[in-house]
Amino acid sequence: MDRPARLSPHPVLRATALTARYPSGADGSPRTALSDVSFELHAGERVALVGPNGSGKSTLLFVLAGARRPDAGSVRVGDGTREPSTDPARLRGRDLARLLGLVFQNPELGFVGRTCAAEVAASLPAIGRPADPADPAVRAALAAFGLEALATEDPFRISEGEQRRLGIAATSIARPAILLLDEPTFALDRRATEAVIGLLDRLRSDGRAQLMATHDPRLIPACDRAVALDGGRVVFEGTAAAFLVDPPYRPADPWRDAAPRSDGSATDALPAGRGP
Amino acid sequence: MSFLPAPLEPVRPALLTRVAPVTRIVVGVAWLAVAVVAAGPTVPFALGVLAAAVLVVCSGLPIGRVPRRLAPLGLAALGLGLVTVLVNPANGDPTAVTLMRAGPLRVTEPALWAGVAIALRLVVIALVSLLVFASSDPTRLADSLVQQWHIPYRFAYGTLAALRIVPLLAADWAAITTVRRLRGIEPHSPRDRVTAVGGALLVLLVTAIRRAERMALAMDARGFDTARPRGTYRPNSLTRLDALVLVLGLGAVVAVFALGVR
Repeated sequence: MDRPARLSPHPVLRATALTARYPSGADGSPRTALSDVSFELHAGERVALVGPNGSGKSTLLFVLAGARRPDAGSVRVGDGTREPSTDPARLRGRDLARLLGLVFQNPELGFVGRTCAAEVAASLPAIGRPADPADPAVRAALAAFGLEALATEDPFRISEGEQRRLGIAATSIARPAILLLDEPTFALDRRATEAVIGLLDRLRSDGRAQLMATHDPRLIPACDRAVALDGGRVVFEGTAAAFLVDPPYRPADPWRDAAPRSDGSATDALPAGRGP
Repeated sequence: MSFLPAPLEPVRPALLTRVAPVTRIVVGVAWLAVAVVAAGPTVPFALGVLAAAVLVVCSGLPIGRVPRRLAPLGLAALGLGLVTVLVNPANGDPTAVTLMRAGPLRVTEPALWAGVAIALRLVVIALVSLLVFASSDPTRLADSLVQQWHIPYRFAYGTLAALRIVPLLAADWAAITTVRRLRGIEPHSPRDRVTAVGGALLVLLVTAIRRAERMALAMDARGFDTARPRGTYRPNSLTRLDALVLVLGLGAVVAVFALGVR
């Protein structure tokens, strides 16, 4: 996929030398989750955040969303018309929701509504509208994600794939300038994956940036760039195509996750004889 | 990802880590009982010194991290001791020796000793609990309870499985509050706040139940409750060391009690 021309020389998000540690060693010594991570995200860009399990992807999303303060380094977000200068940790309420959206790997953790329609409507106040489940925008969002038949269902009682689509629908209705997604196509079948990619394409067409942590070889080709983490460090930054041709890390230990092979086929290499 | 500080656990092989958890429980309960029952500050003081010595010499715990972990309990001990000293019926006893007088406030000698005793008892409780529980991992404790005391394994291992989930709940809670903040869903009035916390707790409950269901299924799939006699994967037997610790531990507490009460 060709890299679209950047709309502005200024990024919407700039991460500078981020370092984050967890106090989780047995002797209490901190474990480094992120080490000197720097990158930029531009308006209209879709970037895949890739790397083995435990490489720091989820921590990075937390830090970028301002939910966790980095031990060193900084995150700045902006509207792309000038240098980003806002610390997301200092933003609140509507200002934050319009700038940053985050969909977790487990979308259930974000649910607040009693019905799917109410769930999507709960994000409307972020764009200055009352949280009315009957709002036409709610119906449109549900329909866009193939969830219109579930409008009156309890979000906790629908399937995992449906929950994931609902989570993206609810977050994207606030039209955040930067959408952070953790494994957006996990547990989705092919049709739903294609639908999600199509919807993310539409969300991006008006200049919104997307950063998605993913292992999905179907999703990486749909991204403009890839940033690969390994052991908390950036080990690759370049076009998604270049990443797919020559991934920067190899599945030396088959349980340490797998980079997509160069032909883009299956990701998970199981040791011989241990298959299902 | 974890938002919790690492648990306090042994970082090097030590004498106490080789002692069966049940032995430690017996000795620990005896120490606590004596520390609580004995009058005056002498017995809790002696037991506190002994427990601290054991902690430093043979627990294998990272000593440097202990003070910080016990700091809240230390503060509680201090506060409780102070209250006992200041608000004490002995302060109104005209025959008691006055130590300090400030306006209407009078502190007497018996009141001071009562306060010191209360504070020391709390310190002993904290140290002994640390020696009994922090010096062996929960799995070994469950093994020991099932094998030596024949506690029903369903209860012991079920509780163990539940314990493992606690840190995950903390991570879930962080995720729930993060998403709400990012979605701009922020309570304005105190009433809203209560409703919001209730809603978040409900989500936490739902995810916890789902996790518990999956865990129960996984445990059943591995034959956890097959109603057949169970074998032992990690044999956990009492050794001569346990006998020695039992004799020394109980002997020490009896000696302290006898000397302290005299």
